Amino acid sequence: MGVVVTAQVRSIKTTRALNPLSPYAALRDTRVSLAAENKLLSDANKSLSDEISASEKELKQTEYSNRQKVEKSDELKKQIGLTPLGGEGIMVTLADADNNLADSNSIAHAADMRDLINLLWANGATAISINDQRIVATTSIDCIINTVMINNVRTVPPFDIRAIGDRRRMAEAVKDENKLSDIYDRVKNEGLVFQITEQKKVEVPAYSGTFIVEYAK
Amino acid sequence: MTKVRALSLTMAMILFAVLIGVLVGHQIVIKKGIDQALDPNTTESMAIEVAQLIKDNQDLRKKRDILIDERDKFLNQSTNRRAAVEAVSSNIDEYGVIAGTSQVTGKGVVVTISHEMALTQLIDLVNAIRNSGAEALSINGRRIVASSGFTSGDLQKNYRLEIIGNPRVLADALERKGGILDQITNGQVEEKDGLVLPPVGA
Repeated sequence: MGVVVTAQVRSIKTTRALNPLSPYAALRDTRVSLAAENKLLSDANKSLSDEISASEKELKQTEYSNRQKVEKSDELKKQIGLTPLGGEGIMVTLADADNNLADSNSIAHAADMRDLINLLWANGATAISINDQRIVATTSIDCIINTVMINNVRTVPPFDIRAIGDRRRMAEAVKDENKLSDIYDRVKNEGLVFQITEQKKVEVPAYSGTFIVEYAK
Repeated sequence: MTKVRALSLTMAMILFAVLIGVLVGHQIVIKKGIDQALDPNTTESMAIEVAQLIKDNQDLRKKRDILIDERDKFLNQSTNRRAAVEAVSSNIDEYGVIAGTSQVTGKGVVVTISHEMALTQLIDLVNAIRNSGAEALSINGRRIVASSGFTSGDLQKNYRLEIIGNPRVLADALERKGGILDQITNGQVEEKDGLVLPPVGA
């Protein structure tokens, strides 16, 4: 009897998930639930930040030293991208070439934006955004297969880059083909879209992500 | 009678053709969905996005706890104004680290690169360091913040990058096979305690 039971147990094969679509479906479902949680957490944090800002205003009405502290905090918030900003600047549109024979030279890359953003900072930009994502101290711009991840948010072309600062100086730098030679070569040879306009008023949104400072004191 | 039969036959054929068309269309849509699901690029892209979302949500939860604590201090400000003022002071310290207006200390890693780099390599390296969770960075004694722009005048023969953040995560991210140091420039990474980074412009 024991032998028969053992043989029976051994003959039962464990079932395996062999459907090739399973990992995709699981990932897709996970992404949906994580994105929903992300939205809830972001909204909760925004609402808490609003409550704190209102309380800070209240604190400003008390002693002079308290007012100075809140003003210093406000100034730093502005500096690190936690408030929306407006002012003169430039707008740049970077997009894939408008043709059907797209290859890696005719599409806009994360590296193009890294070069452009660096050039704008080096020429006096005070605030920059790409497709409504504010560029802050922790921002990285990375290519994820055929999309670009900025501040952990996936974005696709056309890329709308806005920079506040001396518009003439920034436009002059960005129009200098030697400074962005890789982009301009592809504009000429592959039809990559790269347009620059000077603006009297450009607006960039506040950073909507999270700064976590755990190790730096 | 023959005309009626012919009309019925025509109608039946039209209906059959429409049915076939709908089925073929449906099949194409399903095939497209399956192709997309089986495309390794789609799955890989989604996996990266899921990993980013997990990390982002962890940060958001940490931040929520900090904000709740701060909000509670403010709520009690009529009875305990000192706690509210301390919360503002704590924010000023944190914002100062991010803005680079103050000297910062902490553990992290030191990256040494003993050769020249192209400007694009330097830009990519700084981008990768930010992506690895750096909280503060200096390059050859210059504090790097959001608005730091590099020109060819900043290129040097040797680099010492001091990065404050989780040492293990930073080292793993920078040194991993196919990572930034592997891809664009060789460099040595060393975990360190007690790093001291200067403020901007020092």
